Amino acid sequence: MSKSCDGWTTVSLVSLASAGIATLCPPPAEAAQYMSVEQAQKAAFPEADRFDARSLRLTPEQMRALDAVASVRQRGEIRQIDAWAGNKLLGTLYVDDVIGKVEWVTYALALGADGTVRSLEILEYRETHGYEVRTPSWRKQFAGLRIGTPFHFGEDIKNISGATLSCAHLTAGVQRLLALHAQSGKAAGK
Amino acid sequence: MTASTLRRIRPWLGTYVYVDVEAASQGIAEAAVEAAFERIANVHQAMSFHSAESDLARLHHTAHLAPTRVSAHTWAVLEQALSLAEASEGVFDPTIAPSLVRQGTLPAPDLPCPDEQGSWQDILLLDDEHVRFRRPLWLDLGGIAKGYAVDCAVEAMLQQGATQGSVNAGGDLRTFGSDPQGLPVTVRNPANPAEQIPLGRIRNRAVATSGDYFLGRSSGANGLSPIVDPQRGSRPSRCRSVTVIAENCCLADGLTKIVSLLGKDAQALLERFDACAAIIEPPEKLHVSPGFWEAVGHGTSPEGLMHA
Repeated sequence: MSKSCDGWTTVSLVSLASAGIATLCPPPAEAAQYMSVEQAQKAAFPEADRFDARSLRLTPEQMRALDAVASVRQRGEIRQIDAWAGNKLLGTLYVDDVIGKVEWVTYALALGADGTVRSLEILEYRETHGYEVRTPSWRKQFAGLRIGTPFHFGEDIKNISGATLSCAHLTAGVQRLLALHAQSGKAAGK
Repeated sequence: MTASTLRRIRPWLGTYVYVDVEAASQGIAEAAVEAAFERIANVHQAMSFHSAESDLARLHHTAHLAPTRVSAHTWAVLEQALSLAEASEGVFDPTIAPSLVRQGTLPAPDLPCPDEQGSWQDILLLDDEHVRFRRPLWLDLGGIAKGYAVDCAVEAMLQQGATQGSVNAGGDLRTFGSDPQGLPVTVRNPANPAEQIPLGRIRNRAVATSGDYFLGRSSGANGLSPIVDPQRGSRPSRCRSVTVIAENCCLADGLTKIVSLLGKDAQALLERFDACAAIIEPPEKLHVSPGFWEAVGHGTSPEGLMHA
């Protein structure tokens, strides 16, 4: 360890590990489930007394059509859960997966009966989380990125504070679900 | 009675925001999480650079023409920004947004771009949360606004009766509560983001990390492109990160920008704000300011460290 006249000290990163700090400070979990689908349903529609769930498997054509809305790798197996209070449709919860940095991020988007976003929750996030550093190279990926969307959860302050790529992907996933929801509404004559 | 714990993540502030809470009951924990996210949403909406309805957008449109009223949140962040700008003699300057727009880091508002002559000294905080600009300006409050949002979320959870918890918004982290162990703090190695460097643990304090060492000053282009060092392979040559520990996250985030630009010359400022800092300089150096090891729960330094 060396010390300079201003009181700063310099150590080698390698020695940090050998000093046993790693054992003092376990690395953050790699995978974590934050909410179950059931919890997400209840949280989004506390007044519901019934949930109707079905699975949608997107065809390659549907996936390509959604790429025109927002391009992101989406697993394509979506759970669509209608929330009811008696015979009144309260809205729909979509559970979907989009690619994060390398792994899938599972999220739940709740839409009211009028199609507006009620809530968005991350259910499962498999990537190393915890303390993020913002590196210039990471930021570079966002230079010039534009997201034509009325939603403001993802795109704003990222420019300085550095959104993760997976967050931008999530924004794209939400846009795709909204497009899908609008189509299914038309198809069902809602 | 066993405490209830809860963890939620939602996308805000351009990143994933993690809220962890412990409270006497599940109901209190849930209320605390909701209150935390509500505050974060409010701060986000007030200080979004993009949104045409944000306080920032209104300031950009009218503050050079007439005093413009802002929300209490925006006011608080502007006060902190000007305090840092004054203390650092302009090293920290929230009026750099036009150059960030030019670099493509921020999107262009639908307004004529101000020249780059403006500075923090052109921002006047008047009475009654009114702000006046001496000339057209574009402000970027991104980093410190994010830190401030984390602070607000922590306050909201305390108000709801949470006993302990933390908020982590991608690089801005704050903890509160009685856990004697504290929260582990690891920072990614800027040269190898897959590698996490454990620094120690913090209690009742805030940490911010920034890799944006070039922010606001030098030509960003060099900093943005990782330069391959032919001697050592693909290591980005000037990629370093700065971590600051301070009483609150808004301050910690602002100080990372100053330490990024001044390095050890920021020591007097760190002392003035009762903060400490660490700079990771790849491939293997870690420089820490006086008090840093104590702040992360070690003695004056971790035992067994080798000379760098």
